[in-house]
Amino acid sequence: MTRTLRYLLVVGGGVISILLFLLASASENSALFDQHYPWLLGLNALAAVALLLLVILLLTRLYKRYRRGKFGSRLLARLVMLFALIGILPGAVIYLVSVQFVSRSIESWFDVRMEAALESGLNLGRNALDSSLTDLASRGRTMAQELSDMSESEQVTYLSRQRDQSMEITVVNANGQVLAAVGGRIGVLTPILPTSAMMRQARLSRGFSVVESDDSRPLNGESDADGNLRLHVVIAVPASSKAMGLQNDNRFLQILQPVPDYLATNAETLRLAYSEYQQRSVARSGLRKIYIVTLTLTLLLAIFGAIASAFLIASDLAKPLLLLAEGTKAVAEGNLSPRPIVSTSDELGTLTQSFNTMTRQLLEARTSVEKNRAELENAKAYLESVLANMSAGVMVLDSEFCIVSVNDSVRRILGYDFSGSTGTPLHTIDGQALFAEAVIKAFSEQRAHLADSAEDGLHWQQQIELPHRGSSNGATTAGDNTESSKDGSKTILLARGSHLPVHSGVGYVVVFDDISKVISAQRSIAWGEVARRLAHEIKNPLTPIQLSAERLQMRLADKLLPADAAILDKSTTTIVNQVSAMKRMVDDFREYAKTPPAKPSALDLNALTEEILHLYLAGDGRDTIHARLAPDLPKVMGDATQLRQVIHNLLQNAQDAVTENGDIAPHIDVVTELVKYQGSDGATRSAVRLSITDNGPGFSQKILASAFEPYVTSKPKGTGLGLAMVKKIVDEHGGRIDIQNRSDTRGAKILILLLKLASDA
Amino acid sequence: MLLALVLLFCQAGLQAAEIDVTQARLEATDDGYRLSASYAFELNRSLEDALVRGVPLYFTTDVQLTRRRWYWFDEVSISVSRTVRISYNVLTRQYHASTSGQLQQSFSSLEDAMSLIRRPPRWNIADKNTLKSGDIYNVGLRMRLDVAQLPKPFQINALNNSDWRLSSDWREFTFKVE
Repeated sequence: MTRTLRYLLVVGGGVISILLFLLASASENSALFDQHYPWLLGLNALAAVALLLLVILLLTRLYKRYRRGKFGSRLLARLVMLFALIGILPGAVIYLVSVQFVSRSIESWFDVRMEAALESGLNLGRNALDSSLTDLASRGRTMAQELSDMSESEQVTYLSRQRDQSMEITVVNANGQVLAAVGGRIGVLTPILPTSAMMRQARLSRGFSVVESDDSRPLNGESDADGNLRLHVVIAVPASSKAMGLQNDNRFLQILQPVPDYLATNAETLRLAYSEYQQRSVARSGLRKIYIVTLTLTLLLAIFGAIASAFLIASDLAKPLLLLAEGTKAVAEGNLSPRPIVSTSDELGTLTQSFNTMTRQLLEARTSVEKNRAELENAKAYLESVLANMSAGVMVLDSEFCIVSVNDSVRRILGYDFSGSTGTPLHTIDGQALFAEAVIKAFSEQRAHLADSAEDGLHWQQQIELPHRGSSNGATTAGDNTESSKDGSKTILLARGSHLPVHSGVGYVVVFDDISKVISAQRSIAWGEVARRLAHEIKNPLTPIQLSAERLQMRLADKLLPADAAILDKSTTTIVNQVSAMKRMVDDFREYAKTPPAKPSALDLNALTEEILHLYLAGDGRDTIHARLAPDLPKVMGDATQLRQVIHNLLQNAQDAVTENGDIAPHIDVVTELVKYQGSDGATRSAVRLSITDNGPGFSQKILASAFEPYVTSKPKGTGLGLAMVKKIVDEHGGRIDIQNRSDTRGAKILILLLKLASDA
Repeated sequence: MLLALVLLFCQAGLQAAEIDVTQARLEATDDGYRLSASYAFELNRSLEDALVRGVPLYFTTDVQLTRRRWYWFDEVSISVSRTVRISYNVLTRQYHASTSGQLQQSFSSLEDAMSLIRRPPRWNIADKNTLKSGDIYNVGLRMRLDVAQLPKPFQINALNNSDWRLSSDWREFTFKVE
């Protein structure tokens, strides 16, 4: 309901009240309302029609909303119906009772006995008047009889004698000329004369007599002369028996006598009452109509007013409820913004306020839940990223050994992409049967172990050997693969397994790492130990063997035949040579095993390199070695002796390699450079890199995998200790060494990165 | 019910003519313009009954002289009305007829009283110089029972009872001022 409609209703209500009041007060007698009564009625009817239109408008609006199912229209409709009913029912009851009452009571006013009494009273009055009239008439006739014989002078005297106090006696002739007059009013110019009709009637019958109202004598100040009555008698004077003349033939005696006041007043009262009664009796249907129409109009106005007010009240009452309902709907849809508060102090206002409090709390709760979830997600993401960046492979399996999740490292270690294999059993995955078998076996063994002994073994640890699947760059051929597996080249995994509650059932988690390199390091340490012991054990008998052989030659050379001496000489020489060769080999081994600890000092790597290259360039006329040394190289911490051996070894290897080149011109590059890298703490650091590149045949795959292990060599006469030495020294200097085959052309490349610089120390 | 009320008001305007104007003439005299007219109608039983029971009846004669104007509504030169009141005195059994502003006359019979209304004396409606000489006027004449002067119950009766609606149509004729 709009504001204008509301104001309109208030103003209209006022107007209608005034109209109704006027209509009700119009039932009283008043001249103004008598004149304009139909208009008043019409205005009221118009107001009723206007209200009806308003009500119809409101009802149709409500009905349309109801049909459309607009939110809140049902409640509004119910409230309106309720209020309208409350307004209409009592109104209708009062209306019915009033109409009945009015109809009956109006009828009851008009009583037969009452009417009869009034009628009788009227008759009494008439009779009284008639009898006095008759008296007057008979007296008049007597007078007329006596007058007939009198002369005019006698007449006046007679009349004066006959006259009463109030009587007015006139004698006129037929032409209306006054012959004699007695009494009458003083100052009245025109005496009341009998009309010709009266004279005619007087002559025809015994006389003319009438009771008439006297308008010449105001009574009680009333202008209406009906209240004053007088008796009016006209009698023809009989012709004179003495035959006095023709002129006396047509004389008339007129007597006017006012009715006595007491009689006149009472008669008038009676007349008025009778008239009033009769009027009302005639008008009673109209009177009933007035009452019914007034009542009906009042009822209609009241009913329409009630319905219109019902709309007002209902919409007022329903507003906070609708607001709340809308709020509830909004909350259900997730909108927790505060609702407008109904500013009433009653329960509805409190309700909306507490509703807002509730939504606010809901909002806070939801926000905190969101925050918690975000934190949880962050934590999970953090954990996942830790897992993903872990070097160890982590694999989660369910109770049926189907893959639940794996991290990135698993792919690197096992060489298989598990991203699409979630949910498939591990042993059915291509190429992982061996791994699966080992894992399953380990878990079942652990379970058996747990069942056997009650001790608390939460996890198992086991080494798993898997055939080498080749490097991930895909350069390996099938031939290489079979060759390497034939050679027993394997990936060794250290796996730990433990039980895990996954979802609802039991699950397993396997953590494993490629420990091939650890094994290799361990192997190299073992080699060193073996070499040291062997060298010690072998070296001891070598000197006696050499000495014995030399003594044999010395003692026996002269005593033998030349042929035998030659054999002896040859044999001892062989022994001595072989022994010294063996000695040299043993020395090498011992040197490998017993490298003295490095004594690092600030060292200019460029100077060292140039010094060594100088030796090589001097004896080389073919322009094989090319040096490219960075000018502003920082000094490194290193043992000059050991580093010199490293460079020597590498150059030697390179030279050895390029000699097998044949047609291709041998070419060796020695490069030093400064490398910038970012440390783990984020700061930029420097390192020095030395690289030696040749264009020889390069390393075979087999050598490449274990080039730094002792006794691995591609040279027919090598001990296989050169690169192992180099590796050992570089490791002691805290550097890194990397060997690779050149990708652009044939040849090998060895990179040494020295991380410890003199400025850091 | 409302509708019925509304219809009643409409009916009041559409009443049929119960009074005939038998003669209507305007005469120019030295004093002024006199209307001489006569009407023919009978009081119906309801009205007569009411009259005998003491309800005074009012008969109003309306006269309107208009002059046609081409540029605007017709000019109303004269618009006069005169009301005759007829009443019955139950005590003296006499009928009284009075014209507004004049003495009342008494009659012993209704017919005599009604004759005053049916054939009223000439009525000087306007002074000599009120009308412009040479102009042609449209004269409208109507006689009706004046319900508005009756007590309220009879007014209500008149709304839906044709007995209480007594009126003539407008009698129109032209009058040329010499």
